[in-house]
Amino acid sequence: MARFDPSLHLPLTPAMFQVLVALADGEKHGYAIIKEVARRTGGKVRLRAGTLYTVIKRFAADGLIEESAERPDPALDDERRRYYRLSDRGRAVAVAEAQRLEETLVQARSKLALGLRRS
Amino acid sequence: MRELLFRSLLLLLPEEFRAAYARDMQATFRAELRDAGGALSAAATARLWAATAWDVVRAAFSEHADILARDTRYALRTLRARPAHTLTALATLALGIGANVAMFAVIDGVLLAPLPYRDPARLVAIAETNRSGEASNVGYLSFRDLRARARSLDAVAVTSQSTATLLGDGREAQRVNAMRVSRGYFEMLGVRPALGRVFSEAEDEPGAARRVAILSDRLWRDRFGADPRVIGRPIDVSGIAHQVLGVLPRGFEDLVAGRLYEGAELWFPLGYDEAASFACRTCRHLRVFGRLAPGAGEAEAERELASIFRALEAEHPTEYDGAGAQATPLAEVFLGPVRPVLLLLWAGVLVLLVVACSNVANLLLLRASERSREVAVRTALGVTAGRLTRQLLTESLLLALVGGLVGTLVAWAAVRVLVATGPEQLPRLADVALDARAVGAALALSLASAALFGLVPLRQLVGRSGHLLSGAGRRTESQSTWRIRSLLVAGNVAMAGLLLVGSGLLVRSLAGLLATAPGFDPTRVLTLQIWLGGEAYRRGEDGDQIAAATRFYDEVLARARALPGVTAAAAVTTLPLAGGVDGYGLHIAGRPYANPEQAPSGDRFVVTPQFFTALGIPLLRGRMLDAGDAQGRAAVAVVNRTLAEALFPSEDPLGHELSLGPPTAAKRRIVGIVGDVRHHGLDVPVGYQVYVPQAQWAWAETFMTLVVRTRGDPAAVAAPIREIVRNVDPAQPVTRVRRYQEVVGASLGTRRFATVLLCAFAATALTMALIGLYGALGVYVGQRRQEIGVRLALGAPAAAIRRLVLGQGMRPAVAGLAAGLLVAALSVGVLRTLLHEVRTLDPGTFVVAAIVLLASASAACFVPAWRASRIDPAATLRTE
Repeated sequence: MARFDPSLHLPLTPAMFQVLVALADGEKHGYAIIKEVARRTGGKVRLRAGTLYTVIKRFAADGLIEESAERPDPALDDERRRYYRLSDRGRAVAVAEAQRLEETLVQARSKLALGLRRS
Repeated sequence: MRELLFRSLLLLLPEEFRAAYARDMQATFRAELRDAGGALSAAATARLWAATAWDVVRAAFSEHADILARDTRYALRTLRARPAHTLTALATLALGIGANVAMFAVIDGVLLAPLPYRDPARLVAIAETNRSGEASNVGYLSFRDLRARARSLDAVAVTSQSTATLLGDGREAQRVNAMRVSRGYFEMLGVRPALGRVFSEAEDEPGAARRVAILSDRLWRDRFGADPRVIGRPIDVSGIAHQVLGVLPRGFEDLVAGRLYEGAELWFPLGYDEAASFACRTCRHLRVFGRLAPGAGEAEAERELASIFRALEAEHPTEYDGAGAQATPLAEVFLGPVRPVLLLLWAGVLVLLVVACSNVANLLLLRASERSREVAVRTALGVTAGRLTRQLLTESLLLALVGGLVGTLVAWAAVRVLVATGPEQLPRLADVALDARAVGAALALSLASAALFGLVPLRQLVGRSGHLLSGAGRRTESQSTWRIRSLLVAGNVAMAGLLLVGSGLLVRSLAGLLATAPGFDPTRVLTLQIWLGGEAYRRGEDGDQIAAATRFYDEVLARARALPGVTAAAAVTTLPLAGGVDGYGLHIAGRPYANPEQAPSGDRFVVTPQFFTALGIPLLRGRMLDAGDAQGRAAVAVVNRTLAEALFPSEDPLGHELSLGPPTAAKRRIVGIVGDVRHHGLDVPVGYQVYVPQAQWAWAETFMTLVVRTRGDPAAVAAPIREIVRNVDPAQPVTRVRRYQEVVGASLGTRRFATVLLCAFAATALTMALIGLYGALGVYVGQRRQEIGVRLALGAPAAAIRRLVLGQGMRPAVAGLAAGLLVAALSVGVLRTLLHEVRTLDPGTFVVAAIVLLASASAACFVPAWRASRIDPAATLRTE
């Protein structure tokens, strides 16, 4: 099998990137992902169920996330929820996207700084 | 409640997606609501719902698009894997859809598009009727009284034919057809001039101070270089200065001028004097048009007009005979005659589309049986029936859309061919084009046909995939698909049979008409129109003008006769079968009618010497007309056989006298009897015909058609004759130069058009049906290879195998044939109006259609049968 190339999955949409990042520190169920994203972005990115599960479906199909066993969510009464965790590939893609964003940012900054100096 | 609403929203998502995530999505939504707390304001609740709904819709859209993309890729792969099948299916669909779209465009442009007038549904054409119900044009005085008395009409106007020669401006003389119209004509139609104005009331008065004219847009562009300063300027019309009042708008396609007045491009006011001899009540030469008053219908107008005519008859009893009125919607005047033909052709293309769809269904079915294992495997792997259906539907949809796209190209080409070759009897054909509506129709047809042909194999595949993995299912599967397939084949053969019978009847009718002797010989005859213009020939009852016209024709004809290759040359006022009508009352001397309106009427032909020779009309008795029948000599006439036999059943007509028009008109001695000539159409019975020498008619006939008989191709003398006319009088243009055979052919234009197209549809349907039969039988043999191999191995003769397969294929063909002939027998009644002297249940046509179908079906079955008999038993047994 060919070596996995995370760059083939780039660029990610902001929602996709946020989902990967939200899962970076451990497995979560759907609503927990939404809350984590909202918390980390100070409410600026507000995922909803439709978008979230489209992303989850795509990542699951591409093997970027994995489903862990189903179990009750202590926070949600007794309801059984599906939990998702980042796979190694998913982590690699998230890192690659972060690097890509960083490079973009650095380039933009230096260009804008040059522009500032010239003016 | 909120849960239920959210669950309903989720129904937008694809089934697979719902199966995987719906439960989690609901839990998430519930948690979201719970965290938001119970104390959400109404506005916040609305915002939450709006955001949620939008989010689900977006997700559903992207998921469906994703599936569509995957299915399309998959479908493309499958379609590419069997290029022969795919191309056959595409070609079939493209033909079916293309023919339909082209026909839709024609029907849309010719029949459905509104007439180019304001509120056209309120416009009517009005005719006067007599005791026997015959409709005619109207005399001026009758029109004047109608206009004054009719309340059910907002406006009434009349038109008559005219012509003009445009001179001056340093340009060559140009002959144009023209119309005279009464005041209010353009206002009645709702046409405003693009430049200038229309006629005023005063300009329609007799002896108006100045002559005025209105130009068509085309004439304005062609002759006057689109110069707006032409308004108010005098132009030279036949030597008389006319002031141009206005130019009609571009795209104002005057159907009245175009269809009824040979494309008139110049309008003059009618300006009749009530005392003029041609303004009489029996001078029925004006076409009457009216606009229905608000709230009045055609029936009401007709009743009122009829009562006015009855009152007029009471006032002028010798000028009417059982007078009544007819009010016909204007659209009906133009479109009524061609509607049955177009609707028939539409029905034909619809049948063709059904055949195409069922043929494609057959092809897909054939592939379905090849793919049944693949489907079974996918089902076993957990692909749901819904998902499978969707994938297969995508495939048929893709096929239909590509078929529709190619079909639109086919339609585009077909429309161009139809417009170029369509008969001149079809109004507005030149404007027919593929527009957005037609393309929309193509799309709708594609989708409809996808539904038609996509569903048949679907049921076959999805419904019964369960047992296919076990080989046991194969036999029953192939039997049941064979049943469906032979049903499709039978249906196709039936529809091909229907079209064959229909087109066969039209062919017989047309062949009969073509074989109808017109009463003259149109081969090797050239026809040329001349409309004498200028002061010297002005139509009048002046002997000098008649003499001038006679001199002109004598000179031209004498020089034409001297041309090498010309055997005879003459001129006539109305050329038989060219559409002209010139009816006159016939009064036999010594047989007066109390009401002269009850006298018989017939066609009057003003002819020059040699007319009968030039057209090859046989002289039955007496003599022909010759140069001796000159102006001032004893007036003579020649009549046709029908007149002689009907009006003189027990006497010799020769030596009797008759007059044409009013009973007081000049008497003419009958000197000859000639054969009947089909004048109004090959399919119209011959009436009374009277031929009068040109030099002896009451006025100078300025509109004549030259008929020149030649030894070789008549077209060869066209240029020399134009040259002769130019030399005799350069101001007289020659128009409409045609071989007489073209004139005769054009008189059958609509019939020929319908026949050729329906034959093409029948041939296409037959080809499709045969392809279907051939394909189905091929699969049948393929699926029975082993069985046939075993039979052959056991000593069955090859002929028996051939018979077996042939029988298998011919059964649906014969059943379809029987059904097709039955349907044809029940439905050919719609053809009745299009048939001439052929019964709708013509046994010969049915038999020929049956023979053609059976013979071609046997040919289609023979190849698979022959292949079956050549199967190598050893090879099939080895694979077993």
